[in-house]
Amino acid sequence: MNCLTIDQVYLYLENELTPEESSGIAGHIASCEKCRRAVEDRRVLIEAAESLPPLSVPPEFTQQIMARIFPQKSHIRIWIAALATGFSLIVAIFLAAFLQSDFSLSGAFIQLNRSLWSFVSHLSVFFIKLIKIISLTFNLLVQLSSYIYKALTSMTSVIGIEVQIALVILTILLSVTVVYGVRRKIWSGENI
Amino acid sequence: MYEDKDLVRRTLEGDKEAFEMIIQKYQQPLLNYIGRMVGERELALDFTQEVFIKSYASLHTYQPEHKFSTWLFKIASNYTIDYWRKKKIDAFSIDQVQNQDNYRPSMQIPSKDPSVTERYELAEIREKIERTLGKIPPSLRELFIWRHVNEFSYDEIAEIKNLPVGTIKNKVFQAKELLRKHLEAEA
Repeated sequence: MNCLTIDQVYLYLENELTPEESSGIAGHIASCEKCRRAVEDRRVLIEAAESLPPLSVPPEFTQQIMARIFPQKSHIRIWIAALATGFSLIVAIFLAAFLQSDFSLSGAFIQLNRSLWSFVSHLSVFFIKLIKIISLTFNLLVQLSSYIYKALTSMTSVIGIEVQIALVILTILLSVTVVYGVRRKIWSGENI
Repeated sequence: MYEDKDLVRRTLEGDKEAFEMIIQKYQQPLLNYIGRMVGERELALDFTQEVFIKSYASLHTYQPEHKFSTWLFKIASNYTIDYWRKKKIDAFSIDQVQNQDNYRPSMQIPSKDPSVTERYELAEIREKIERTLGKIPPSLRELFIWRHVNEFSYDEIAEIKNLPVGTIKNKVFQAKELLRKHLEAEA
C-alpha cells in the first residue's frame, strides 16, 4: 500500500472507512514510520479538540432568556391591581355593613360627602400656607445672604476679628428671631 | 428525558416549561459554538440569548422530520453569519476558502511532516487550539467546532449547511490542517 493521503488519515481516525480500508491502513502504518507519526499527531490534535472545556453558562442564564421571551407583568401593574382589589373590598364591606344596619344609605353618603369636602378644604388651606412659608423663607434667605455677604466684605476691611465674630453671631440670632416671628404671624392669622 | 419533538409540540401548545427545557438542554452546546466563533464571552452570551428568542419566534416553521438540534444550529449559524457581514468580514462563503493555504484534499503526507503535538502536553495543546481557532476562516472554523467540539456527525453538519457530506468532510479536514499549520507557526 502507498503512503497515506491526509484525507485517508482523518477518515481512518474518525472511523469513516470500511473495515477493509481501515485494516489496510492499520497494516501500512505499522510498517511506515512517517505515516504512523502523521496519524498519531492528528489523533492527539483531535483528542485535544474534543476535550476542550465547555464555556461556563451563568446560573441565571435560562431564566434571563425566559424573562425576555415571556416578559412578566410590570410591578406597577401588579400594585395597581392590588390597590384596586383592596379598595373594592373595603367599599364592598362598608356597603354590606350599611345595608345590614339601621342607618339610611342616603344619610351615610351625605355624611361621607361632608367629611370629604371638609378634608379637602382643610388640605387646600394647609398647602396654600405651606407654599407661602416656603416662598417667604426663600426670599428671606436670599436677602439675608446678600446682606451677610456685603457686611462680611466691609467688616473684613474695617473691623477687628473679635468684633466680626460677634456681629456674625448677632446676625444669625436676629435672622432666627425674624424667621420665628414671621412663622408665628403666618400661623396666627392669614395676613402678613 | 423528553424528545425534542415533544418539547417543541408542547411549546407550541403554550407550555412555557417545555421551552425552558429546550433552553436548558441546548444553552451549553450553543454557547460552546457561538463563544468560539465570536471569541468574546459577553457577546457569545448575548448571541445565544438572541438565537433562543429567534428560534422561539419561528418555532412554528420547524418541521419535525428534521432534527431539532440541526434546525437550532442553522439559526445560530445564520445569526453568526449576519454578525460577520455586519462587521464587513466576508469570510463565510465556503467556496472562498476552497484552495486557501494550498490545501488539497488528497494531498500526500509530506516527507517532513512536523509534529505539533508531541512537544506539548494535552492541556497545552488545548490552550493553543483555543488561541489559534480565531485564525482560521469562520466558514471552516464553524465546521471544525461542530465536528470536534459539538461532536455532530458529518451528516448532521451537511444538513445544517445544506451541502453534500463529502464537501463537509473535505472542509473539516481542511480546517484541521489549517489549525495544525497555525499551531506549528505558534510553536
